[in-house]
Amino acid sequence: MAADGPVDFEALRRRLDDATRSLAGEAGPEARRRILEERAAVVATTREAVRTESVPVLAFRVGGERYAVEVASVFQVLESRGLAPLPAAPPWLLGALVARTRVVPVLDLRLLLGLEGGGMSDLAKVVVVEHEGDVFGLAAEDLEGRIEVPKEGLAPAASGPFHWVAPDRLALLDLARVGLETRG
Amino acid sequence: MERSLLRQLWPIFSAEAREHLAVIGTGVLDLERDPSQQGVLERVRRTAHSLKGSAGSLGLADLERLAHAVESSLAGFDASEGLSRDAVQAALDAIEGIEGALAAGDAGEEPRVATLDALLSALGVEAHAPAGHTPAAAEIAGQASVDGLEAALAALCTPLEPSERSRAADEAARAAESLARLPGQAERAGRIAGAFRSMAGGGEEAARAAAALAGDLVDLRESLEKGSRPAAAAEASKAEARGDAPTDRSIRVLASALDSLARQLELLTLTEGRHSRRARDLASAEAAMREATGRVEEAATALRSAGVATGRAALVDGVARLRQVAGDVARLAREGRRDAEGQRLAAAVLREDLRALRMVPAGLLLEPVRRVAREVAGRLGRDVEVELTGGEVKLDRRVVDALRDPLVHLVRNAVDHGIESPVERIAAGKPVAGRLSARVEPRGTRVGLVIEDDGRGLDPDAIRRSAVSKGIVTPEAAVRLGEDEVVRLLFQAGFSTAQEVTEISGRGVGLDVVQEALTRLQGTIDVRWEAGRFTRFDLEVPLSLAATAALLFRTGRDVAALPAETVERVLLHEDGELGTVAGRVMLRVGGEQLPYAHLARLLGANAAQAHGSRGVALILRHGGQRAALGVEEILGQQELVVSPLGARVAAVTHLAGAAMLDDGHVVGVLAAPEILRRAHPATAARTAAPRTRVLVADDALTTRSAMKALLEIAGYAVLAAADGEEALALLRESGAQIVVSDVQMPRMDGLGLCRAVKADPKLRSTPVILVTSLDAPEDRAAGLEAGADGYLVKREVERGKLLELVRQLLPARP
Repeated sequence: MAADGPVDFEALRRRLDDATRSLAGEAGPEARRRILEERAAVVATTREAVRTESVPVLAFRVGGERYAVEVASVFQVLESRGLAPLPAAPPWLLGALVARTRVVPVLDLRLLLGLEGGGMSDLAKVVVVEHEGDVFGLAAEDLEGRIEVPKEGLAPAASGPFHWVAPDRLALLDLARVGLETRG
Repeated sequence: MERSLLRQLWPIFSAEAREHLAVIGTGVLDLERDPSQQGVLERVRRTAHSLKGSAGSLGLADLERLAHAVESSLAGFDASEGLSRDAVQAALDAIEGIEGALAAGDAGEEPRVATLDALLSALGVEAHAPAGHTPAAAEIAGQASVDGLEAALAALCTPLEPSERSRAADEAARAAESLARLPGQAERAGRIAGAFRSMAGGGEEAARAAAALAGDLVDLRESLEKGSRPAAAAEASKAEARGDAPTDRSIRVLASALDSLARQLELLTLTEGRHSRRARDLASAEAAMREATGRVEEAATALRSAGVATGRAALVDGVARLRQVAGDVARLAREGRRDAEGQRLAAAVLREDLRALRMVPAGLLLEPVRRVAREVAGRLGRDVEVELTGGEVKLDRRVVDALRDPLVHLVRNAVDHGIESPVERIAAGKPVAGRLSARVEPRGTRVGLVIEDDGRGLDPDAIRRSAVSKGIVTPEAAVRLGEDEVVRLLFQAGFSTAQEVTEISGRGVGLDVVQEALTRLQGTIDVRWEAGRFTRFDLEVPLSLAATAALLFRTGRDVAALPAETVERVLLHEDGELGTVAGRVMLRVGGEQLPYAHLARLLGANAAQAHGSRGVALILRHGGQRAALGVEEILGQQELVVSPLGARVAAVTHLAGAAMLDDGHVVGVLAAPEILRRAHPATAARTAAPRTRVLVADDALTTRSAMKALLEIAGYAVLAAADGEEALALLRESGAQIVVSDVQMPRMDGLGLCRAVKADPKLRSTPVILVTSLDAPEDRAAGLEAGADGYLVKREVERGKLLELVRQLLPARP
């Protein structure tokens, strides 16, 4: 480093003092402000990070569309082979099967949502969910598995029993309303 | 309530209350989002009502009042306006308050709500008239006499004979003076007494005194009600201090632990079934093996006699080995059978033990009755003696839990609507104190709960009026309902005989809740009464809710089950035993005719129908109703644990639940009450859309009544007229889809009626059937000439001809 002018001993001494002080654990007013600002920035980003945390959901496919339920509400995932039809059941009630030690009804989400479709032919899986002590199954064509959906960009659904819809059109079901509202 | 009992019940209450709160919370938020959801509103109100009931039955005054306030804050809910922000906030705050109290209770503290008054007023309820406390005797007396004074004031404001006036005023003044002994009321009591005295003379002075009196009475009532709260609290703490806990040699078991045990036991039973089946399979495999070995031996013999020697030794050796293996398999089968048998015995013992664990004394159920009755009676100024019996009968814990709310509802109703005020009782020559009894009685595998009061009984006319004004039935339908059917209306949602909204009996979410709870328990409810003498509610429920024996059968293409206790018998029937009576298909069973329906068709399943000359029928019985139901095939009987299918399937009313068979398959369990309801078209039709109306005209009362009954049984609504003129008037006024008329009648005969109908442009299309005792060709010709659409001789009426003709001539319904 080459010095172009006379050495500014005043400034040098000040920097040296600052360095000594910070080595000794105390910061000058300038540094203290900077450190505090840095800390604030760090704290702020962690808060921000918390806010943009993702939601763990179990995603599945039915009627060619993607739906999800919160992982916490999943009771069990089963093959639909054990499904037994119930006598004179309406079309949206596909039947019942055994999930752990319970016998649970299995619903056809397509009909509950007023979509096309019917019958068990292409429904290979059953996602059994629990909500407020009620355990019931939702028949699915295919499981996508557990995915983390970033909370950012979630939009409330315009209609239907959904908590929200993700930008990629994955819709999170509101189990409090599924099967209790309109039946298609 | 005794502290020890409260502690014992607390975990149940706390868990249940939290569920209720969750429902209320989400419901309120849902309503805020979308106010048009009538079902949600109903659910929230009902849940709040249940919460109020259970809090009340445990004597948790704060929680009861808050729950009631939540319920009433929704009473005036208008879907077009929705819920205001404040209302939602108030409800959520109330939930939080109750949750706080529950948490305190969980920690073993007193479940109190600290900010009760603020929460109540936010919900639009004035923080007076505490609901849950038991006022001290003096206060009850004080409030009762305020009622008396108000009545006296009202009486004095009406024109009276001078002598009577001064007597009434004097009496009221003396009553007012007696209030002076109440703490802090001396001055006010004196003022009131003076005012009553000055009303004795009438005139202007009396009017001034009346005005002052009215104000003083309101103040008096308010201060009495405020004053009684600390008194109640003092009484409660005294009861606590006594701490007289009876030392019971029992431990508390969480209901959920019992449920889990039951489920595991059920799994054990399933594996037991599989084991014994495997043992049977092994045994038959062994038999098959021995048979095959025998064949091989035969072949070996044949080969030897044919002179083939090559490989014979190996063949003989193989046969011997095969026999040995078959012996091993046989041993395995025997052992398997023994193990399965041992497991079955162990499971049976376990099941019995579990059943015993679930049983608790009915005293737990009856406990709140006395308190609830006394409290309601206190509020209404009535006197009630309570008699409880059968507390030692043991009941399934879950049955006790499920019956608690219904019982409290019924007790409240009995005191509120059943037992008269002391004045009425004296006038009716009854003892001043009403009697209320609640008794539990064992009835085989079921248990009865009877709640009876010696009050005024039911008033079918009042129920009819109320049902009509609430739009539950049409006025015409109400008139035609028999007394028993009228009483059934009490159990419909949205019905209450209470003329005004009272805190005591609730707002029409009472008896329907009772009915619902009974349905869930596979129970029945029956009401008997005699005007002016008694009302008796008879509830019957299964002793236990554990595994029930069930009958398995095929209906249509499905396999289904029914609880065996609802199936009286199974029988094979010939075609000849089926016939129609009054247009309904009946099956002759022994000497009686039972309504018959093919189950699959009744349920609306697409049943491939190839009916042979014989069939299998189940005779179903529940709550006094019976019917025969055709099924395809009986598959057997099995012990099943029926799982309810939850709220989402509740709309499928014919399903009670589902259960797992011992081969692991799942089967739907049908709801016997609903099947019976559908199998009885008369009861089904009444709740259905408006019925086809038939006008019957005949001057002979017997013929008229007979035809009316015949048509009504077939599901028609019948208007009756005594002659042609009356018939024509009725027809123009109320209308009917078809007319059945006698020919010979006074004033206007059948021919005249027929001509009049056909001449009226509005009535012209209404078919007319003439019924006559004459059967001469010229009469028939006269009838047809008059425009009659059908002609019938009276003796043909009984033979089903009338119904046939009515059905043929009725215009097709849109």
